Amino acid sequence: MSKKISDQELAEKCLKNSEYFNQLVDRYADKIRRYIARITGNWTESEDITQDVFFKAYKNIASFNPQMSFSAWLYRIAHNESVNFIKKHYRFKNVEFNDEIKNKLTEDNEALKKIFSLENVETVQNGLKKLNQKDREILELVFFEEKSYIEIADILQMHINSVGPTIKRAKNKLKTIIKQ
Amino acid sequence: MKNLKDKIKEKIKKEKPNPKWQYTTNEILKNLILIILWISIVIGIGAFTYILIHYNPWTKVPYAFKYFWNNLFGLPWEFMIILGILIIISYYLVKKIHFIYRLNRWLIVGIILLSLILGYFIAEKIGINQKIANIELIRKIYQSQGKLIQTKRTAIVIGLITEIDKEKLTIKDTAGYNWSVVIDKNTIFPQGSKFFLGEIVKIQGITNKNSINAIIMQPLNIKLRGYRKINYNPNCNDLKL
Repeated sequence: MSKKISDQELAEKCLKNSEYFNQLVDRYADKIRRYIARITGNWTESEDITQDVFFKAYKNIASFNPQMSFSAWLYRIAHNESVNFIKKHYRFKNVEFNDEIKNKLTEDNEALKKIFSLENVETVQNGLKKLNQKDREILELVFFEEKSYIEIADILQMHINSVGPTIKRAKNKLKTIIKQ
Repeated sequence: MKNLKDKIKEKIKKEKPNPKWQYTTNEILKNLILIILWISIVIGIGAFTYILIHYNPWTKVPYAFKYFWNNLFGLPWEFMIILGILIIISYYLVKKIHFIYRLNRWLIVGIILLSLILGYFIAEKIGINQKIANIELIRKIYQSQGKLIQTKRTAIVIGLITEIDKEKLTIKDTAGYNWSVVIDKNTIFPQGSKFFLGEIVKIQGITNKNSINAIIMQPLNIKLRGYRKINYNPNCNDLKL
């Protein structure tokens, strides 16, 4: 049985052979697309943004620092691209989730159920919608992407000690919104 | 219809990653700029801190704010603009440093404090503080053509000490007028300063005919055209209040 090559190793080998990057695409393309769709609230556009994310990652793979996890590095690029998209298209209004994206992301509702012990997942989805971008993003990374604190710190570029309190604050805000 | 993964793979097929040396060079250049900026800021802020501490405004707390205010606007505007630009550039550059967000905030505070202390000593060593303080004065002297410099509420007189003892201090300004300097317990001096006959001093105060009530008095390390320091030091008493 062949040993699974780590992301870091693949990233290093990409410089010589793009075939290795294809493996990374297979591993992360869907996850990244879902993440972008959640942040931007736009399923259709998320496809183009995901392509851009992987293209940028491939072109700049030499700048990847192995001290960081590859996944966090890739999510950081996705985060930046999503924020740029939001700035460009939703400068003066909040991101709204349309029915299309709701349907596409329903598979994640189980995660929300488990975390909040709530029957009405729709309420939680609506609650998340009302949170500001920063709070929503950190909750999505914890609940949907199941990222560790260190990875969240790298993706959102914040100090690791701030991750816990920020999550707690965001969760409290979400709970308050849901109760209302 | 192609799925997303195939589209990405096809897109990168004809492309090559940017070479590693590009990033290495970029990083080296970025770090070099940062180091230069850091040194400039350290010296700049250090000099600023030096000026404030050197004139020890804290010993005369009621006047501290006024003194600080006078000194702040006494600094050359070019210095303030350059310092401001450097701080803004550094802010954006520092944001680009890898993993700075991973550093403990107390470590960052420590580095800033250490930089200030370092800057303070560098500024003192190379005498940049005095240079900075003098730039504005030299300009004022030039603009006023040696005459009395009148600010909003006070006047600044720069001149040579021609008479000094415990009761009397007279200075001759650059236009040749003699000023009798009135010093009281509220007059502010740079910490540890001593005044001698033949020394050039700057006095900021309120004028009354040919006398000036000194609010701030400080020695200057500049050479004024037409003056030579009198190489004479008979029983002249140090003026220490």
